[in-house]
Amino acid sequence: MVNVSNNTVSTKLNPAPTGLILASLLVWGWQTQYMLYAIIIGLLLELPLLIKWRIDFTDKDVNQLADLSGVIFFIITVYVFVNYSFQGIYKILELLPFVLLLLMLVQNYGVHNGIKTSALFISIRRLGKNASPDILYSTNIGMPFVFICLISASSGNKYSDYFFIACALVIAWLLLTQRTKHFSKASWFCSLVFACFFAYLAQNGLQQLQNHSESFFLELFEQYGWKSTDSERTSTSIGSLARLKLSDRIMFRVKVDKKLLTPLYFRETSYSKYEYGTWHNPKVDFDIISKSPGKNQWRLNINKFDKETMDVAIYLQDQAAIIPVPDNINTLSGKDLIQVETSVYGSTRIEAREGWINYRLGLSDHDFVEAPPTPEDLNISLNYKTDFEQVAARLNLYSKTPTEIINIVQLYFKDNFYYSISQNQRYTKWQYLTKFLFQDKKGHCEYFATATALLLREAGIPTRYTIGYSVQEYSDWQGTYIVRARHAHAWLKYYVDGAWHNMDTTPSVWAPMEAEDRTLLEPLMDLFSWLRYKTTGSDIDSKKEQSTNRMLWLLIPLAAYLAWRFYTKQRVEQNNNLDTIHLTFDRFGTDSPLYPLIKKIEQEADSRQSGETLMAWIKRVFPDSRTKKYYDLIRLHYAYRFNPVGDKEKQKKLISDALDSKT
Amino acid sequence: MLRKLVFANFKLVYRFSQWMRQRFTSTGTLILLITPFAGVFGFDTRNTLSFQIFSITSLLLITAMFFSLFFRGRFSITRKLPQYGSVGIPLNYSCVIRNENKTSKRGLVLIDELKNQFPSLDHFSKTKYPLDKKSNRIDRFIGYPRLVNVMQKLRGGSIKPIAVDYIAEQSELETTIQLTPLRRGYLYFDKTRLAQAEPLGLFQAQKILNNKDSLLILPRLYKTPRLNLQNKRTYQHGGVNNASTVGDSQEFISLRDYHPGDPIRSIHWRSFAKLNKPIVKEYQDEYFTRYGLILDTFLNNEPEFIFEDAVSIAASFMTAQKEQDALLDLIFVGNNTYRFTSGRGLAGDENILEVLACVEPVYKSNIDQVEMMIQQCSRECSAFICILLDLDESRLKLIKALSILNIPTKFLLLRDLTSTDSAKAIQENDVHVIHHVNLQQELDALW
Repeated sequence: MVNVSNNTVSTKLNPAPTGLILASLLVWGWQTQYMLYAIIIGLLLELPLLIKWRIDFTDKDVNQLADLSGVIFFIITVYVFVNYSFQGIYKILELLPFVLLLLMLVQNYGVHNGIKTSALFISIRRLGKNASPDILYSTNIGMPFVFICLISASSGNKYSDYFFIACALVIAWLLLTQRTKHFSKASWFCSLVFACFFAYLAQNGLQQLQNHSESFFLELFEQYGWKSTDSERTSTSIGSLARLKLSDRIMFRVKVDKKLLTPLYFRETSYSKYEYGTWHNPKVDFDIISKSPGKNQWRLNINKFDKETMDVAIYLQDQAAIIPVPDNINTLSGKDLIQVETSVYGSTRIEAREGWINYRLGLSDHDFVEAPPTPEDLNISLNYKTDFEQVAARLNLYSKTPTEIINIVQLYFKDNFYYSISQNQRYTKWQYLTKFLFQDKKGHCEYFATATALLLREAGIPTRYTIGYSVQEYSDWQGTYIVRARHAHAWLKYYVDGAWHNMDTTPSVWAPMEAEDRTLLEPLMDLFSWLRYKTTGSDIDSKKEQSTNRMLWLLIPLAAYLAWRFYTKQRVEQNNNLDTIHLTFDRFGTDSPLYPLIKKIEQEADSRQSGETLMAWIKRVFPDSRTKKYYDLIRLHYAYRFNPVGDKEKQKKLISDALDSKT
Repeated sequence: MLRKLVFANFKLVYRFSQWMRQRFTSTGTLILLITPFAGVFGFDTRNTLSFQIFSITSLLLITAMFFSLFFRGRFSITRKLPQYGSVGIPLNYSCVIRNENKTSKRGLVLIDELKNQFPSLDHFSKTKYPLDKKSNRIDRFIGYPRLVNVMQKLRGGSIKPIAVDYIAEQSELETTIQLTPLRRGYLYFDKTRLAQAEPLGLFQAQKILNNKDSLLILPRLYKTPRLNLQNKRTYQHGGVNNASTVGDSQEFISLRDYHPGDPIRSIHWRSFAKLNKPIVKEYQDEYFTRYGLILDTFLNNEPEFIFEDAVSIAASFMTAQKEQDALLDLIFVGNNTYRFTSGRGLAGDENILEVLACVEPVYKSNIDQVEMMIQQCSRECSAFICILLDLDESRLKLIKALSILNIPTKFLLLRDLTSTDSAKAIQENDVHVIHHVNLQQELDALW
């Protein structure tokens, strides 16, 4: 037997290995563009390894410096939230190494080589020296600082794969110095490679998971929570990473007399100002259109007659909504419509009942007249001004006529850009459009429409960003054009020769490309949608019939419920038979001595009628002077029988005595 | 209702925290804490790359846990405990580890555990945590630090893990472990764990061996002055049984007829044979000093350390040097009323200390029962020492009852009372107030 000494295992954190703090700070500087600060701080924190002198900070000094760090953190938080709102949380994250710098300096230049928990937590500080040693101890915060630097660096959000490698290397360095010596370095290395390999797969999986879950919830939202277009603001997907996926949900149906030769654009609204991925308008007022006398029809254009008509069926989530209409709309008619309004930006808003509604569009040769351009329609945000100046100069747009400009720009986008619904590279929010123009040269319709609109503005042509749908998918078995969520499109309007004209620079492959993502269940979903449309989407006059039909469907669960009740009722009865409870009530006063007398009188004279009081009965049986004597007796009986107070035995005796005296 | 709900979850939280402490190394714990932090900031994978740190740290932990599954081995452990320990005084004991494997083992950690006893809600609610007033409101309301404190007390001590760097195959190794008892009474050893960290050094695989044992921890003792009360010797019924070696025993007076109840050994057999009827020997009545030590065990709102001080003072008096022929009665009330006598060949110091090691506070007033017991033994006792935890109405009644007996009594009060009524009562009854901070000095100044 061998005796070994009492060698307790320390549960405290070891100091960070030499150079690791500098390495983690360099990763932070590289990601957050604070490289200069990172080098300075890193050298400051690693310098104590080369010098021998140390400062003897008292507990009070450390507490005060910790409090100062807390105050700095508080000030930074307030400042960042005021300037960046909730997005500022990532900014705060980015600045964490600055916040912890004081404590790290105290630790590395102090004699204690650690920070007491009481300095970090005021609650522990208040406990004083009486606090349990389990919570009041000195710990080296070097290794936590390394991890905090890495998490701060992650807020830089760039060079995804390189960042992963950098983090893995820093953590591997940390683990190498902490590894258990009884295993070989090869075992340690294999374990680490194993973990890092799966971590790489996991981080890719996390990204995929977010994309898929977002698509899923977006689809759900579109399915159940779809709202009408906002005439004042629309957010684009410019800057959204991964694949843009819109659902196959049918938004509306268009029935035409003859099939369309080219896709027809149904616009919803136009916007004039672009900033950070959002197009918006100043406050938009809608003008109410007067109803044509004697008809359910509203005239939106100047033409007297409709050249052709289209029947549209759309599902309304709210009673008032902006509806997609073609540019050359002339009239709008339908029993479902209550009111129609239009705005200067070409939006048509209707008021109708919720659910599937039908209306007829009358079309003419002339487009709906939108309001003339305003200075807003020439505005380019300062963030993008230089970029578009550069493109406009390169294309030599400044010296061209508007028609030439339109042609050049159309060709420029056609020849140099291609359509893509994927965005995998991450940039700062405002950089996406710049990268689209100069680097990636690929994007979806929102990129094309936005970039074209701003480029034309730079060339002096007023433009508006327009959103709506492209009508192009004809369903033979339904006999209508169906417009799905994925047919949503963005293009622009430019103002030349005193009129607004449509322009779409998005490559025409966008619709087939988006259709590639259709689900296998699409035909089945279409069938359900059609059935629902057919059962609920008919005229107002047939509403009563619809509700009756719907009530009939309710009979199925009702029948099931009744069947279940019938089944369970039998079981309840069986249970009742098993546990029959006999309830008995003791009614006080039933032993009154008067009852035998009543029985006797009933036998000799006449019996009491149902509901007849004793007094009424006596009065009927003995209509002479005996009535009063019996009345006294009955009063005594009533007192014994019904009055809860009084000595019952005494009352009973009184009745008996009265009866005795009577006999 | 909320308190019950919170308390119901304490067990889960406490077990999880214990599991974490035992299973993760310090680096592993750091990574475990960093993981949710990185996860929260990396929740939106488009805003930060923190999800990559989350992936690395979580996969490191999973890998560490996975490789810990490969720890195999057969061991046996024998604990060698001392007979007694004392509160607050570190004691060493040893563990003999036998490696029954055919290969040697390296990098083991021996974790010896005392049994975790979870308090009842009632016990938890009544226990006072000395640092409660200094704790923050959340801690005070939720009460988790208090629970940890109660659990530590119930467990009775803390044992640090011991590193066992190498143990050869088929051999034994003895390690010394230090335990600092935190409370008196029996400490129950439960399990012994042999842990080994996996290659990454984050998570410890463990071999758990059931190794139950117990150790009696005696109360803390103080140096007490020799008992010096203005006492007198009193008649002690029971005579020779209580006087085997010293005192007035064996003083034969005469022979007399046998009375029922006389011990058989008192029969004078020769006279019995001669007279043909039982004759017994009669001895001189016995007179010697007998002290009564009354221990107040009723703990109402007083902090628990006051009770511990009372037990320690009682233990100190019981084991203090006293007159050779003196008896010392310890009187207190637990579930029943107890009276233990030491001295003159009766119970030894170790027996009394064992009794005092296991005395528990009573939360329901028991002063009346003590009073009854005092009435019973007042004829035998020459003097009393009464250790009080408070000076409320019932205790004042006890003081009055003792004063009526006209027996010299020393009252010790372990709590400083500031009210004017209390100050008056202390002065009137000559009560000595002993403070927790200056306990030894104030004991020295008693006589």
